[in-house]
Amino acid sequence: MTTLRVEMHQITKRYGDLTANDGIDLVVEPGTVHAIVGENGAGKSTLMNVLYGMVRPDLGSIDINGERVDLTGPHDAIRRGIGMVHQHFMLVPSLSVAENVIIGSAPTRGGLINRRQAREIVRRVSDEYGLQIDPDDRVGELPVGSQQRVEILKALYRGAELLILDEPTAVLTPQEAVELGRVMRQLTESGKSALFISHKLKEVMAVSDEITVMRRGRVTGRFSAGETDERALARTMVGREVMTTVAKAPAESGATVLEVRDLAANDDRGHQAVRGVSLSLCAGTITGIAGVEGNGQTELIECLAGLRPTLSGEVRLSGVEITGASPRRRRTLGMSHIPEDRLKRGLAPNRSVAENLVATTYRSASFTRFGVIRRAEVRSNAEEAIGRFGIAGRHDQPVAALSGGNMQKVVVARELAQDPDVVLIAQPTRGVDIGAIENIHREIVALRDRGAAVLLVSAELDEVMQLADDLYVMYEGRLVAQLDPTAVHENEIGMHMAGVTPGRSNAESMTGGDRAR
Amino acid sequence: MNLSDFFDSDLLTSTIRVATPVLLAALGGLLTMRAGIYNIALEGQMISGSFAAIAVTAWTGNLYLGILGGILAGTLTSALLALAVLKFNANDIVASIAINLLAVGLTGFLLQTIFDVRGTYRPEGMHGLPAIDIPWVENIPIIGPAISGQTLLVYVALGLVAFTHVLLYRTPLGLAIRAVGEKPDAARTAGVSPILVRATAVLYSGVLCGLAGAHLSLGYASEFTVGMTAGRGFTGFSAAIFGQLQPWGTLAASLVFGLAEALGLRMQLSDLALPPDIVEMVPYVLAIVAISITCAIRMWRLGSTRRREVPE
Repeated sequence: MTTLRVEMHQITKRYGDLTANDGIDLVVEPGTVHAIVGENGAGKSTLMNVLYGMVRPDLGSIDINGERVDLTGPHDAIRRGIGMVHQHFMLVPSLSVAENVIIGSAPTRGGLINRRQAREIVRRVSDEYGLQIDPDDRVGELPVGSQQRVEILKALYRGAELLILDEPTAVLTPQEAVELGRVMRQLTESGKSALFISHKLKEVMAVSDEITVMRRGRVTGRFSAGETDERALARTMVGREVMTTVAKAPAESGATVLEVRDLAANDDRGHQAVRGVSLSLCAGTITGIAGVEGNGQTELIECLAGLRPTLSGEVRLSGVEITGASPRRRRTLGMSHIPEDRLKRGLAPNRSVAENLVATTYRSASFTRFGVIRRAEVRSNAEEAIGRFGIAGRHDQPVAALSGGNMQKVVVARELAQDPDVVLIAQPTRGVDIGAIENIHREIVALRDRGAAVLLVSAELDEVMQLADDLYVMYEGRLVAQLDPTAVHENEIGMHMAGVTPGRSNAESMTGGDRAR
Repeated sequence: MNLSDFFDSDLLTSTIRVATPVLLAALGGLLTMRAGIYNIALEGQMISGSFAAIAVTAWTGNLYLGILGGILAGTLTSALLALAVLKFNANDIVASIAINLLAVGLTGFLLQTIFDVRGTYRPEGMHGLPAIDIPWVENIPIIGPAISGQTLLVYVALGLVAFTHVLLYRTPLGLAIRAVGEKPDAARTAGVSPILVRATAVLYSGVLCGLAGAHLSLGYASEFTVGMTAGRGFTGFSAAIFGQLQPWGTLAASLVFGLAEALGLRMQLSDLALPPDIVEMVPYVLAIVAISITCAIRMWRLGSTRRREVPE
C-alpha cells in the first residue's frame, strides 16, 4: 500500500480584496490525524478546496510524496489518493448506498453495472473500517451519521489515502462524533491520514495528532495534541480570551406561556416519532431538551411550530388553543422558531440578507405600505441587525454567500427581532464558530431575561446543560427524565439519553415506563 | 353507427403507429429531464429529422439512408441545444423555444429553396417504409395483427423502451444521468462531468427525435409537410412527465396519447359531423387532463400526509 505525504507550500488565494489564504504551509504525514481549526472565514475551507483541486491557488505549490503536482480538479485529486467528505454531503438522496458509492467509477460487466460486485465492495470496505453500512439502503432515508459514513466509504472506494473532512462533526450527535473519531483512528492505523476541519476544540483535542490553527487567512499556531489545551487553542483561534461558559443569573420564572399536553406526531416516513409529550414552558425560563438526535426532538419542535401535523394532543399558547394553527397564526400570537436546518427551513438562500431578515414580518405596516415593500425600511432594518449581531455580510448580499455561522446569525436576528413570548430553538449553534456561539448564547439568555419562554433542543450536551434552567431528556419520542441542570452530572444525562434509567429514577414516571417501540 | 366500428384491431394498429413518434420523443425527453434539462426542443428536433429524412430519401432514393439523414439532423438540432445550454449557459426553456421556432422556419425555407415547393413535398415514385409481418406474432388474437405489420421504426421505438430502461438503470452512464439530474454537485465531486453527461442525454434525445421525424415523413407515405410534427414533440414531453420519467410508464402514456389521436383520426373519417378542428384538439385536451390528474394525485398524496388528523 502506498502511503501519502502531502506538503502544501506558501498557498495563497485571493478573492478580490479578500485574501482567503495568505502563504499557508501545511504538511500532513501519513498515518496521522491533522486538524485545522479556525473561525468561520479563517480560510480553512479554501485551503481544503485547493488541496482537493476545486480551487486553483494564485501562488504556492503542492507536493505529494515529494513530487510537485498541479491539481486540475477533484478528479485529479481523487486519482492521486485524496478524498474529501464535504460538510454538505455530496450524496444523491434517491439512490442506494451502493449506487452513490460507485457513481463515476462503477464496476461493470459487459457494459452494465455489476451490481453484485458493487454491493460486495461496499460490504467489504464497510466491514474493514467498521462503518456499518448496508449497500441497499436508500441514502435519503439514512440518519446523518450514516450518510457521512457513506461519504467516507465513497472516498475509500476511490482509493483515498488522505481523507479531507470538512466540519465532519458539525452535523453529528456526540455519540456519532465519538464513532467518527474511532473510524479516523482506524484509518490512520492502516497508514491513511485524515485532515479534518473543525472548531469543536474538545473533539480536536480528542482525535488529532497535529493541530494547525488559522485566523484570517494565516496560520497562527501549530501544535501537537499533547502539548496544548482547549483554552490555548481558542485564544490562538479567536485572537483573544474566549468565554466558554455562559454568564447567567438564576431564572425568574413567570406564568406558563406554552402548554403542551400529550402531543403525538409522525416522522416523514409515517412512523410515530413523538409519543405523548407533555410540557409547560414558563416565561423567563429556558427549557432544554437533551437527547440523541432522531429521538423525536426535530418532530416535536416542528409540530409545535405548526410545520408538522399533530396526531393527537393539545397545544395552548397563552391560553389560546393552537393545536392545528398555521405557522403564521402562531407567529402572530407571539411564537418564533429557529429551525435546525437553516438552509432548508430558516432561510431563502438566494434572497438577500435584508429580505431574509423581514421574511416573517414583511406584511407588517413597518415594511409595507399600500402593498408595496418599503425598501428603505427593509434596508435600515437589515443594517441594524447586521450591526447588532455582527453579521459579516452586506444587506444586499444573497444569504447563500455567507458562511454557516453568519447565516445562523441572520436567522437568530430575525427570530428575536419581534420580542417573542415563546421561542422554539433547535440546534442554534450547529456549524457556528466559537466567537459566534458566545454571541448566540448571550442572546438566548437575554431573551429569557426579557421574559420569553425558550424551548431549546440541542445535540450539544454542554450547550443544553449550560443554558437550560429546566432540563428534559428525550428518548424514543418521550420525555424520559426531568432534571436540574445545575445539579445533575453529565453521565447521568448520558444514561437517560441512551434509554437506561439510572438506579435512582427521577423520571417521575412521565412515560408510563413503556419504552419499547 | 355502432361502437364496433370504432373499437377494432385496426384502431389498435393505428394507435401504435401514431404513438410511435410521441414515444420516441418522450424517451429522449425523459432521459434529458432525468439529467436535469427541460428539453422542450423535442418538436424542433423532430421536424428537422422529418425534413432531412425526406430530403436524403429524395436524393439517394434509399429510405434507410433517409432514416440516417433524419437521425443526423435530429442530433445536430439537439447539439445546438446542448451548445446553447451547456456551453453558453442559456436557459434551457428559452433555448428550446428558439430552436423550435428556428427548426420550423428553416425546414419551410429549405423546402422552398431546395425543392421549390410550398406546403407539401412528395418525391416521385417513393413509397413509405414497408410493413414488416412477424410470422407468429400476427396470429396472436387481437393484439397480434396490431403489433405485426408495422414498419421498422415502430419496432425500433418499442425496442428503445427496453434499451432506455437498461441504459438508465443498469449502466454507469444511466447512474451518472440520474445523479447529475438530482444533485449535480454530488456527481461533480465524484469525478463525473455534469456537462458531458447532460450533453450525452441531449444528443440521445436528438437521435430519438430524428427517428420520430423519419417515422412521420417516411412511415406512411414518403412526404413532408411544413409543420407536420403538429405538436407531437410537445405531446412527447407531456408523455414523459405523465409516465413519471420511467421508460415503461412513458410507453403507457404514449399509447394513451396515441389512442386519443387514433380515435380522433377515426372520428374524422367516420360520418360523425364533428368539425376536424375539434377532433384534432382531443390529444391536447387529453394531455392537460392526464397531467392534471397526475399532479392532483401527487398533491393528494402529499396532502394526506400533511393533513392534520382530528385529535381523539
